[in-house]
Amino acid sequence: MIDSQPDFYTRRRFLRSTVLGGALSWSVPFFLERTFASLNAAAADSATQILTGRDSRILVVLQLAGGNDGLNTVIPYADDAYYNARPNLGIPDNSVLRLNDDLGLHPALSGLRTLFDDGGVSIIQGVGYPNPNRSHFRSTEIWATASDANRSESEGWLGRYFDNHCDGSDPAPAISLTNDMPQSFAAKQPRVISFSDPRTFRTGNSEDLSMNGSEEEGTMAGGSIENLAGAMPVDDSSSAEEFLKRTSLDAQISSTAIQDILRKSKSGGAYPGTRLARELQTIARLIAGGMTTRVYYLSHGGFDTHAAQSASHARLLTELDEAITAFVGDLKAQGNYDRVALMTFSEFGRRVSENASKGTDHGAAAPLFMLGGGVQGGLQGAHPSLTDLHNGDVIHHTDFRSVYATVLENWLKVDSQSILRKSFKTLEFMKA
Amino acid sequence: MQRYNQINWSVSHAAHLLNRAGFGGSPAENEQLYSLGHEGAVEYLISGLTAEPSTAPPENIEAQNLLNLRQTMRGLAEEEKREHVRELRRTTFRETGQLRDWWMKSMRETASPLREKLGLFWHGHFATSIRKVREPFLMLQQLRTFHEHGHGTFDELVKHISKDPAMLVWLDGANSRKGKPNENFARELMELFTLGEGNYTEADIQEAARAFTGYRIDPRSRTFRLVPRQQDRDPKTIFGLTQNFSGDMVIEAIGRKKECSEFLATRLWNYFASDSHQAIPVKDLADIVRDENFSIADVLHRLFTSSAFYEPTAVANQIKSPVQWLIQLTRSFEMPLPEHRRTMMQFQQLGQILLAPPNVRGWIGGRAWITPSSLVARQNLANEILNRQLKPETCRSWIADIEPASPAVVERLSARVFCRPMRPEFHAKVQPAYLAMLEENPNSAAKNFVIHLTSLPEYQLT
Repeated sequence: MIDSQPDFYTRRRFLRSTVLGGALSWSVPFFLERTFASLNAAAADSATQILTGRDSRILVVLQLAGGNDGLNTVIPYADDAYYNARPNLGIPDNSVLRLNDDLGLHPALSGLRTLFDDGGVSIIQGVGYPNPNRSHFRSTEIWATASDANRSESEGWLGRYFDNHCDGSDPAPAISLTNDMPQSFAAKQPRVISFSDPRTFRTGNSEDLSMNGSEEEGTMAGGSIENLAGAMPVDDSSSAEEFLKRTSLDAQISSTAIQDILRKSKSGGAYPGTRLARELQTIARLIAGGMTTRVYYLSHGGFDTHAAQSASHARLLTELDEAITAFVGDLKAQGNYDRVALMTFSEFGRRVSENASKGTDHGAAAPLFMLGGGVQGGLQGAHPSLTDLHNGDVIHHTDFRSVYATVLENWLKVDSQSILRKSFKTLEFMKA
Repeated sequence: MQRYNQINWSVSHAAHLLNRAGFGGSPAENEQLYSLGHEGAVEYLISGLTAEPSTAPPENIEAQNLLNLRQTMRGLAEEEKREHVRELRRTTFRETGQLRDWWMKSMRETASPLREKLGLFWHGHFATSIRKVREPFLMLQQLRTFHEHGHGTFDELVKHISKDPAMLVWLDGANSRKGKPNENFARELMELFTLGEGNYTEADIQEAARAFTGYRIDPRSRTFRLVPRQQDRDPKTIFGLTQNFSGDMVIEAIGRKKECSEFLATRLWNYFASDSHQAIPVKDLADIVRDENFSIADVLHRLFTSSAFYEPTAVANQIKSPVQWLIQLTRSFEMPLPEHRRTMMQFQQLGQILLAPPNVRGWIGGRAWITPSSLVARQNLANEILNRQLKPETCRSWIADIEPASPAVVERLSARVFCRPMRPEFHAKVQPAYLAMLEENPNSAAKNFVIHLTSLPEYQLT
């Protein structure tokens, strides 16, 4: 945890501390100088809009990559059809963590069950899309771009969210803990910062740009601020060069902010030693440290369980459960739980019937989890029928874009139609 | 479209031409191109389109490699089968890496840069990914098609692509048969490859899909094969015309539509001439495309001899793709390409993996290449490569004839780094940095300064 009052990272403060704090040397890219004058002037009349890092809502998107077996995650333990289809893989009804008389969670999900009982988890069932595609690559793309199954789109749903609703004032509106940029963020001007290890998100000279400069308004040697000319437009009519300079500045600010926060902030509670837990902990620290980032993204892989699934699926769910439990505990201790919502998704569920290798093959619809202080807990929609199947798969009743629409409208508070390009019915899983 | 006035020909314009029609070069190469005169320079680049590849493709990538593995797999026990699947994956992975290495090396070493630059263009245009195709041999065949037919007429190229095995896997054509046509290829053909959205109807797609049925991949040779009994040879109505359309006839009908020339013109302009934020002279270019009967080589000749190509708004305002960025970096410093597998991780961060475009739409490009993290990754990768591969004495040799503290040093070095002469204001801005480095360490000042320049936002432009 950060012991002192968190710092808020804005261009204004960054520039004040580096330029006026005297840290400016030739190693600070010279374009900063030009920016400074205009931003400093702008900052003077925007005092009421200083970002606090404490008031905005945050979305965490957690991808379960490979196709999570929804049927062994939220289990219809009272349905004989389940045990008939899964003679080897079916979870015995006495070990299922019961949610009601029909459904229960995989035994590895005890933490989620507790959260569910507290009303902090919504389980949205039967989520998918028409004409499901069973290729990992293609189905992930459909989820990422929120397209129809027979259409291809370049831009991701989160990319369009930022293109449409991000004014460019925040240097780090989205952070993905992945090496490359998830397609969900693809955009005309993608705003996401991605790194698999935050320590790599820095340049050789970023140490020269520490945030520890003076907070006070100083005067710059030689008084040359007056001589610095030129504004830095942030709209897309700016030249490619201005755009690059702006992004470069954003890179320096956010890199410095992230390194600074991670250096200062200690571990919040006990996290398990898994990669997923470490990444969620990084996110929790960034939230605690006052990053104004609105969307975080991370991926938990290995769900493509074609063979000998029992042990591996249980391990993956255990990792998921323990990491989320620690994350939620941390957020609660920080006092940030109410402004964070975490959504899981997977490109598809798996076939109802197990295969000959004690595994399951690519399927279609599956449940997803939504959790956080702002979530209206409970079960959303019925469990899809296990007897009325299409090509051996359960049939979806909730379009995944309805889930997105709900998150956009009721959590991020934006119009969803401009992002999803169609109107989708919203669901009742966020508190009013 | 106005013709370029030879009077304006300069080293600066020669450099611009080499950057866009290729991957840039050393100051000496720019001078050399300049010395050919404008017409001669364009001629030189265009004639390279028909050149043989400068580097031979890896010989071991054969259709048989994966086939043998698949065949021996039949009838094996579960455990052995799994080992086989792993071996298949390893082979695919290894061969894909070899293919990328070869392709990158070709772009780096080539004496016919336009040939390579155009190959990369078609790869982004007919964006096909190994992630679904899973056969490096098929990807290699597709690259060969780009190289052999990419400079000919557009409809010939599209016909070849419609029968290209990698494309048949990628867009499901290989499963499309009479009575059950798969619409995937027909849709992308019109939307992404030739006409653009809004210039056809859903019915056109459904009917065209019938014309591409029966296209198969021979199971042994892994080349195209037509299977007449799976072909739908009944009349189809496309663009209001009812005929016994074959696939080739559909492509010819598309080529007769004005929108096709406009679509191609826009794509070529965006790739070679501008960033996407500038008005595109679409109508003029589309006229040229039709005048030249869709001959790509002739259209490019007209493009490179147009005045619009050399307008100040078109020069040095294009954001480099990651591939352009790396090839240009190594060409300008006359140093070898780092092994691709060493830079694979970083290239993921930069957002461009050859043979694995994000989807059938290819890379968005332009500003979409740049995020704060991809920018940092570019800076760090340049730093790493140059620190390892660039010798201080090499950098000193570039300025050996100049007084070390003279402003001419900065001019000389930045022309080398940016593959173009820079403006005086820029030199004035970076001069203090160079002088500070000179004071700190005279021996490696030139090298340190060069590395510093590659970290600037301006370096991302070409």
